[in-house]
Amino acid sequence: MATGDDADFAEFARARAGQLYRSAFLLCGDRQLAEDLVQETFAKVYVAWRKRLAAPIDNPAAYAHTTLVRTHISARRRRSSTERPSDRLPEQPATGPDSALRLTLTQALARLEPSDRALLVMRYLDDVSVADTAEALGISSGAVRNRSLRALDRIRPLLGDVTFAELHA
Amino acid sequence: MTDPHQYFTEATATLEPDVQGLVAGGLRRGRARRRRRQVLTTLASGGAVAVLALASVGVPQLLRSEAPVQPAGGGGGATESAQEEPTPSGVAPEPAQPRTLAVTPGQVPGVVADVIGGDVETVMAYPGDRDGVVAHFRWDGAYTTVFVDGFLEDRAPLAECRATAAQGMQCSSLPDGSAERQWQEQQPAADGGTTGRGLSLFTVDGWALEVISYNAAEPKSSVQTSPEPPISFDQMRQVVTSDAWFA
Repeated sequence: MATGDDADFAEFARARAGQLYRSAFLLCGDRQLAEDLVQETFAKVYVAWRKRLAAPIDNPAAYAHTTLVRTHISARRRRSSTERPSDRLPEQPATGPDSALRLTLTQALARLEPSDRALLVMRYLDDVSVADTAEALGISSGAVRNRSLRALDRIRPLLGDVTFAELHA
Repeated sequence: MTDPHQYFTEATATLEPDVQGLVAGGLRRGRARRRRRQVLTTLASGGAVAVLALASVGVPQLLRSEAPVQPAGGGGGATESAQEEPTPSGVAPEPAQPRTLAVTPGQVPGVVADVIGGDVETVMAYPGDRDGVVAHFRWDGAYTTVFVDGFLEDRAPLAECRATAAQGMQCSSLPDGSAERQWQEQQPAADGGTTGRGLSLFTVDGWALEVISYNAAEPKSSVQTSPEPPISFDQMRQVVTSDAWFA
C-alpha cells in the first residue's frame, strides 16, 4: 500500500484514522459518508504533507481534524447547496453497550446546522480548545463559547435524561 | 452523565473503522490529486510561455483550440477539451491566465457588502479546498454563504458546473466560455421549510464563485425572516462577477 516516501504518511494516517472516523461519523451520521470524508481528508493532508518547498505541517493531527471539519461543511454547502432527500438507509441501530447512546446522539446532532454540529464535535469529541476551534472556523472565541452552549442547549431535550452540568455552570 | 465530553466519547467508543481501507483510499486519492497538481503546474507554466511565444508571432487564433487553464494553486488541469463541452457559439473559450485571489476568508462578507450593500455579520470563515475562501455570514439578518475557490476537479467550466450540481440543477454556458448555475428550492417542512437560492459562476481560468442566500437566520430554521431569500439573482451575479475578488 505505502511505499518509500509514503510510509511516514501511512503511519500517521493509521494512527489518526480511528479518531478521525469517529469525528466524521458524528458529523455525517452515516458510516459510508464518514469513510468517504476521512479518505478525502487523508487525500488533502497527503498533498500538503508531500508539498515540495513547503514547511512541514506543524501539527499534522490538528491539521487533519481542521481539514476534516472544513471539508465536511464545504462539501455540504457546495455540492448540493441544500439538503435533499436521500435513498440511503439511515444508520441502523446496532447492538452494543454504546449503540443506543450513539443513535440518540447522532439523531440529536442531525437537528443542528452543520457548523454547530462541527463546533460540538470539535469541542467535545476531539477536545479542541476554544481558541483552536475559533481559529479553525474563522470565528471569535466568544462565538465558539456562545454557540457551543446554544447548540448543547438545543440537543439536550433530545438526549433523554442526560443533563450537562456545563450548561448551567 | 453530566459531562458532554464523556457523552460524546462513550457514544463513539466502539466505532472501529476499517483502518487499512481508509488509509489505502486516502493515499490513492492523495496521489491522484498530487499528480493532477503536478501536471497542472507544468501546463500552467508551459502554457504561459506558449501564449507569449504565439502572441509574439501573431497567431493568436491558434489558441482557440487550447483547453482553458486552471489556477496554478490548485484548480486542476483541464482534461476535458472544449470539443467535449462546446459553447453555444461553437467557439472554444479563450485560454486565460489564472487570476490571483485578493481576499482573505474574513474579508468575504465585507466584499459582498461593498458590492451590493447590506449589513453583514460573520458566522464562519475559512480557506477553501483549492486555495480559495469560504464564508458563512448573515446579510441583513439572512444566512448567506459565499465560496470563491478553485475547481474541485480538472474540468472545463461547463463540465465542472454539471459535475457539482445537485439533481435538477441546470447549467448554462456563457459567451465568454464560463458557465452559470442557478437554483431555488424550499426545504422540507421537517427542516424548517426555509427557501434557499443560489447562483454559481465557473470561470475559464478555473475559479468557482458561488452565492447562496436563505430567507432565515439559519439554513434550517422554522422562523423565516422574509418570504423569499433577500439576495436576488441579479445581486448574486453582481457579486460573482465583481473584480474585487482578484488581484
